[in-house]
Amino acid sequence: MSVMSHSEENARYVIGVDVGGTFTDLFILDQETGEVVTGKVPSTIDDQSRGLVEGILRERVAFSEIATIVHGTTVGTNALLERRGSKTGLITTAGFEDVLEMRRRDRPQTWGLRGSYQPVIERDLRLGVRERTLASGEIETILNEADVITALKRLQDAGCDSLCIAFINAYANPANELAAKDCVRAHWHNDHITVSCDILPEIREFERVSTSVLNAYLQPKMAHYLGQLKDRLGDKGFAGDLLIVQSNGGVMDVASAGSQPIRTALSGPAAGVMAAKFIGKSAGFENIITCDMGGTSFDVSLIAEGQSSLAAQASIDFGMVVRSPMIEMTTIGAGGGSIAWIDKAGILQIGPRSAGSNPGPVCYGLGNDEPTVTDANLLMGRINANRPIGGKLSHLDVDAARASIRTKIAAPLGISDLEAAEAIIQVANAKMAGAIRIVSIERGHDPEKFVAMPFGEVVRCTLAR
Amino acid sequence: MSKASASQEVSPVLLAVLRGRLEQIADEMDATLFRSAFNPIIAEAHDASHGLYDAETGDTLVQGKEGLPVFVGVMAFAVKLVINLAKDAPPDEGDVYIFNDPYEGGTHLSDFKLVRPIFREGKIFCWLASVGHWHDVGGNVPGNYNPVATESFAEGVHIPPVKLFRKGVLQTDILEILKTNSRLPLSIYGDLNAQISALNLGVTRLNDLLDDYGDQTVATVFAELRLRAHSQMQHYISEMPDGSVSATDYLDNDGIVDRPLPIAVDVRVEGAKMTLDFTRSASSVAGPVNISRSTAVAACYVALKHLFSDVPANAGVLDPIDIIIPKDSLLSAERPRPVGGYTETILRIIDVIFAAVGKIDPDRALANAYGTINALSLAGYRPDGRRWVMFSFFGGGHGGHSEGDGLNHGNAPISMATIPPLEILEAAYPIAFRQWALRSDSGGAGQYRGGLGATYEIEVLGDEADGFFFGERGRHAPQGVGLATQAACNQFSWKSTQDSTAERPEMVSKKVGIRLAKGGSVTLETPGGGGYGDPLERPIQTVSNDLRLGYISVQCAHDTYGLVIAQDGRVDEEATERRRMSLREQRAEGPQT
Repeated sequence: MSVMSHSEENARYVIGVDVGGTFTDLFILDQETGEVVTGKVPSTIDDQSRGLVEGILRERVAFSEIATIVHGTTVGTNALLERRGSKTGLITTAGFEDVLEMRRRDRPQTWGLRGSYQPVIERDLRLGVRERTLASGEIETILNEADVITALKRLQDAGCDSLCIAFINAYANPANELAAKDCVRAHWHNDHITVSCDILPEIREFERVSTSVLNAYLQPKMAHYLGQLKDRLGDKGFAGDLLIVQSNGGVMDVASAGSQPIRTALSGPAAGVMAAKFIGKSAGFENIITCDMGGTSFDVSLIAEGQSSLAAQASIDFGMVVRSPMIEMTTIGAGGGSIAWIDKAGILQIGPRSAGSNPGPVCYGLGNDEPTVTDANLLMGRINANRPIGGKLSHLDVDAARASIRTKIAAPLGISDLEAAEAIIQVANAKMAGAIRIVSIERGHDPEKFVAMPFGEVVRCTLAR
Repeated sequence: MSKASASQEVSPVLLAVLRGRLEQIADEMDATLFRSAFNPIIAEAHDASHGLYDAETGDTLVQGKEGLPVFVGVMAFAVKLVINLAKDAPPDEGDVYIFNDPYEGGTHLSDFKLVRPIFREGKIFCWLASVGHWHDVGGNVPGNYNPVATESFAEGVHIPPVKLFRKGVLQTDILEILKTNSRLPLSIYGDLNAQISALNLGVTRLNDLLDDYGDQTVATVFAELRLRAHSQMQHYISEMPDGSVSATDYLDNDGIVDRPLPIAVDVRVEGAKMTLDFTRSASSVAGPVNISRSTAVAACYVALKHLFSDVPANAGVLDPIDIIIPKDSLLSAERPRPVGGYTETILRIIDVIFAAVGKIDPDRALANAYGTINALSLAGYRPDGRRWVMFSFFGGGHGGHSEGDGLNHGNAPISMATIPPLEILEAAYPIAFRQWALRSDSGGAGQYRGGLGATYEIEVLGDEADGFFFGERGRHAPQGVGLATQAACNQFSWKSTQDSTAERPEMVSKKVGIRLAKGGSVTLETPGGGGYGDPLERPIQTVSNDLRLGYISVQCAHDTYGLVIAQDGRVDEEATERRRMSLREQRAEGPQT
């Protein structure tokens, strides 16, 4: 691994940190000895920086000797999924205030017509101003600054902490947006201002508005987190480079991550794929399908001829579209926490509902009573109940797992507990194998030419057979 | 059904695994076509479908999850047509049939169906089929959406089931006929090749699976999956009270004669059986809103799959259902009745089934979605003489239901297609949108509100343009469930010049030959979805939220939801409760609406 430049002489360590939903994983390279240490501590979801610093402390690394920390974070991902971003206002072209809510006229599921969608900015905080740029880039109507001031006042009175500016056809000519930005800067009460032409100067209004709005939605939270992290590390004597992994697998500095947090939307999983690519190459494999099995999901990604594929966009949730280059990934709900159930036709199904890491599988004893893939693995003896990984729990409750598999799966199907556990694993495996094939076919590759590289929190017990 | 009967024991593990593996085959065929098709209707809008069909009956065994919903029901008819043909001339291994017949095979001429038998030990084990919407198949109008067709010959070329491949050899003369009859021969050639690739992949995957598990086991699983879907449907139907309910709705007109066309269903539930009787519907008409019987049955399938969405997608869904459609009905049109506007009619079939089920099983019911495909086209010439044609379908609201409000601005129940970005349309054509917004008060009121439709206003920036519009729901609004109100009607208008007054079509929802000068504009205001349940039961806070967000007007909040706003602009909860009480009393005394 090549070493990031760092001027200090005692810069000895390079540390990679991946903060996942359940565990914080550390990879510590001692550049003097070439020695590598890995560490695992429970994630501290309320403030990820605490777990991160604790993890480094536990490995007895002197903070002053750290050259670089490369950080894959799920702060952004989680804030989006759980909708815990900041109250945000949108200033946009009059007549087009609803672009965010109208999406691309889609729906969440093919069958049922029961879907719903809640935009992160409600309609009364999306305000139109008079201005118009044509597709040619011609400014048809110059920005009405009085409208902008009026809109700002309303959004401030409504308690918005972050602001997004996104105009129709701003990709063709950003002049009106930039004029609005200048006008806003003079009056807005903080630095949290996102302008669509800065985030995504690209045609397609919904995708640009959505990406920009989600960036604005994350900005205060991400800036706060990164500030805390820098302070904590600084307090311990860290003076090296802190780099944040982007969704496309590259890294950026803290200031960029603070102003463009949307680029971290898939930071954590991207780091895993980059590592797989490096390891695969070292081991002589150029065509790899990576399988990241986490607590809630199974993420499949493709590396063809040594190159990871990039997707132009992804949906974090229905209608929550982020368009920025990111490692292409297909996610299916067949993680360790995925719930096994019997459908109305009497057929065993796995997911898409998940018990996640909290309450987690039945065997965690944290309140879930629906059997998960992890419970099936436990019953099959593939997980040691007395030595769960990560140190969060002292032991796993095999009896509870068995009871739940018995009542929910084995009894209705008329089979034994172990047969039911085996069935759960078989169905989950079939779903995962299917995801791997679809990923390769959709990109025009023959899956037979690829090797699978599994990793992640739960994988060692599920795929290892 | 196939060689095996469902009574044979299938282990629950094997059933679950093979169900997934079989769906996977259809999904992989979908993925192959979406990836390699030339035209965006398939590649982007996914107007295509794949599945596995029974060797003897053609009934649906397994369907892909990503295909167009309406095809899911219609493909079985396409395969049946081939099976009937094959009785006299049995196919060989490697044969592939191709056709676009909309009467026996369903939908319209743009949809090309490829059907291929799978042989095992010299006998047909099952069929694979692929359908995709081709960009241009001849006829009077590019793109084949001809609103004034009075015969299907004006809508496109007709290809009966013929063998495109014989024993694996491509029949190039047939390929030449297809290409010669399209304005876009390269596009349809690309789509055809993509469909062939999808079928090839399906054959390989299915043979692998059969080799792994054995033909007999897989046949048993097919039978079992169908039985499960069948018994699950029976179970749901038997939970409904026995009896008869009816629902009638109307198409505005057929585009030729301005006269409402009833689509009516009488639903009878007897134990575990359900009958859908469409006898009271209109007779076939001159204009292009006719549909064939197979299309009508497919529409019933789509409606039932939305209402019973957890039932596996196979022929078992229709097993406990009797569908009655008389001869020469609007819903059983025969050659050469035009069928190009089939979308409007099948959307209305879905609406009346939703409305009827709402009367017997409100928990399961869905209020009507916006109910029209709203095809709008603007066309003209660029300064250099090149022609431009903008063509798109526009969205509307979904209906309220027992769990929540309808979705704002969704796609039609028969489709998963998305709308193009307005910036793409503006970049491609000399037009500018003046509005692209949710339409206030367009969703029906109810305990759960209907989703909102939209307002689209488009101005012509070029020297002049022609427009045509094909929609519905201009006079007959999407219906709600129970005491809910209906949604707003579709409204289309245009101004020939910037300053002229707005005009509306004589046929209310259909118009050809609109002349627009530079600065002229068209405005389309689409319906929302119907509401669900009593508006007076909608929580006051939620109504006030709807009002704050402008989803509803002050007048609607007051008149329909009984919301009373005090002098200070706040909601007066006590006065609202009183007003709701008196509205309930008026309702009890007054004439039934």
